[in-house]
Amino acid sequence: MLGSPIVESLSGTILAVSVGAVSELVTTRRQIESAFVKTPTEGRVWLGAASVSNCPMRPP
Amino acid sequence: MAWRSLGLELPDAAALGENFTVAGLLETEVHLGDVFDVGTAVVQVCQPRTPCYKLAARFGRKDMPVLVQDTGYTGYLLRVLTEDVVEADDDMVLAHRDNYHAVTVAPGWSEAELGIDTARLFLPPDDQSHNVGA
Repeated sequence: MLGSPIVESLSGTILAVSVGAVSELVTTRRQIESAFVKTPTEGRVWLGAASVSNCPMRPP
Repeated sequence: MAWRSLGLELPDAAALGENFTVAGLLETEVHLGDVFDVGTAVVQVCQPRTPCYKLAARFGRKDMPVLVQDTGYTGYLLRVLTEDVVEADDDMVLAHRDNYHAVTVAPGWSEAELGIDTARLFLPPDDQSHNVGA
């Protein structure tokens, strides 16, 4: 449950959204399917809810 | 953008494989479990990022994971709570923080708490003592 009050403000600015530059090293279908950003289109992306990482060291 | 402290010539976006290149929200400020509104989507910080062998392969430097870790700016991983669109110039604003835990995503906690130096695990066995910038 998200019940705690926010006691401080914290923010940043998105400078760019990208499919990672190391994506050419992604070699397996499983890794590709677990990519975080879906359907990038000219700097505007749809976030998929499937996973958190395309790194094989961390399962989604 | 804090990784500029590496002193390497890197592109402005996705240099280290990130999906979001962000100004602000440093690892020392962001806590595990923080929920952020970003664009019209909602994300939650779920774990620190451990630089891995893919950076070494990408940059042709076997010490690249260690270099990145030693800057303290390794990034962090997010889970998507609400799917939607994000684009450049969107703000990423803290929407919820559970102050009970108050654990940041800054690297070093795993080494300090668990005795594991994760980035150095990717170095060859004869280079395990490599210590960039320390």
